[in-house]
Amino acid sequence: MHHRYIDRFAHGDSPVHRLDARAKLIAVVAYSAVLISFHRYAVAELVPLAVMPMAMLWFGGVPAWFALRRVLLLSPFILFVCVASPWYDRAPQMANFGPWRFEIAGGWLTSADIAVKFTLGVLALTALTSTTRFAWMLEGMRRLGAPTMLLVQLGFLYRYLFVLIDEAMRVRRSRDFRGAALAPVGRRLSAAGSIIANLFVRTLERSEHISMAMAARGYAGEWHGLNVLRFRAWDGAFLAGVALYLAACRCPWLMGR
Amino acid sequence: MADILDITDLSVSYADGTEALDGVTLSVAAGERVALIGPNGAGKTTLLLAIMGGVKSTGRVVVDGIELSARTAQEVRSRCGMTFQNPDDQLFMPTLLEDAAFGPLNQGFPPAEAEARAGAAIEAVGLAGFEHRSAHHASEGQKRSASLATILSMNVKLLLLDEPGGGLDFRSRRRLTELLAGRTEAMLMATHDMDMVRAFCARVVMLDGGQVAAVGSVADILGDAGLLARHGLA
Repeated sequence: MHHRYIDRFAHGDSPVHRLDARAKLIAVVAYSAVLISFHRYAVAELVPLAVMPMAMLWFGGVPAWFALRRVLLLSPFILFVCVASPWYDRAPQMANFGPWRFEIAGGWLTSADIAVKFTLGVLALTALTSTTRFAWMLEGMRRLGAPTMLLVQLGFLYRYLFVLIDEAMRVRRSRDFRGAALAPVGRRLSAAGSIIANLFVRTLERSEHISMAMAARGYAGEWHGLNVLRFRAWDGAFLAGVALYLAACRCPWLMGR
Repeated sequence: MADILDITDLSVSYADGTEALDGVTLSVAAGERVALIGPNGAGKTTLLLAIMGGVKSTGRVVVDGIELSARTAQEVRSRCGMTFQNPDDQLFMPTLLEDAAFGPLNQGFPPAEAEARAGAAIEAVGLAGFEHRSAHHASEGQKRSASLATILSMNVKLLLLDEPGGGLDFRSRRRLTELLAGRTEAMLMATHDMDMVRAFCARVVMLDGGQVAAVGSVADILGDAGLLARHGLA
């Protein structure tokens, strides 16, 4: 796993990339709230909600395969819930899919609901993270009032996760080059334990160094940030459009439907 | 020339009783470039950390006329900056620009001013165009340069550099040497790289076993093969 996988499209340039991070954050949070507000049997009503993440991905130049791979990567977590639902809810329900109406066990509708909401949610998050630089997202969250400690932790996680992964890969390679594959299971497990302990100690040491590096540059407990974000009229128009779209999805009667 | 750094009888002991520094006395004049050499474990990094107030020490450290104490540590840190051996320890912010702005923001500069200083420092180290990149997108040489930018943006008078050329290839090391040679700040540089010492340092302080083993001009110290051999440097 490499950082370029996460950052792959975030540094691009497109109308969606140029939107203020706060506008995209608010839009995706509002979208998620509307998405989960639908009843679990109302699967057909979720269809229009596919438009926003698809449009963001399309206009952001993020290929569909990339987004769908994210969905597949995370799907095992949700698969179990989907598979289990039909066992727990066997009460018959009327399903409406456009002109088609048929009776089906409620659990199947719940499964479909979870799968669709999960897919759309991941697509929306992928659209957000693939069109917004991580630093700008953190800055957007900071300006929207997210707790500083959380943002600092997220920043460190983003910065050092890959350093740690690289270190783990190097240590593992060093173990493998010394014939680890030939060792009995017990010794291999013992080596794995040592590697984990070693990485833990290195992480602790690194955290001490970082703390010193921060103190050496005057950090005294208060976190400051640059104002790199600019909220423009276009961002307001984008948010207004999203609000209208979500209102139309959630309350179609408002739009005269 | 007035001294920018004045250290008298500085000692550092670790919790296990190890005497990392033992009565170190040295000074660095304004604008002077001093190399700190010595075998591994001689106390070079500890000395730099002690100057920054990063480890508990006894003795006297005066930076630009300010004596280091718990009360004055922040003032001292706004006058001298340190780069760490491993640039991954130095570059902890999501982008290089934010890393370079971290110090000025802590010094109390408004965000626009901090950003301007950070941008200028990044340009000064030859990384213009890399401002919004993350450190893990940078090469080892670029990380070293970016580390330097994080303290140049603070307009410090004394640079404490811990192994600045470590892990760099010949070309990157030459570029870094040229970059450092063009600076006017005083420097105290812990290094094993004798070519770098010869290239732009005026004086050498040799540490061994936590004590100052020798002080002199580059020619005197590096020309004394016996001295170098006695202290594991040749």
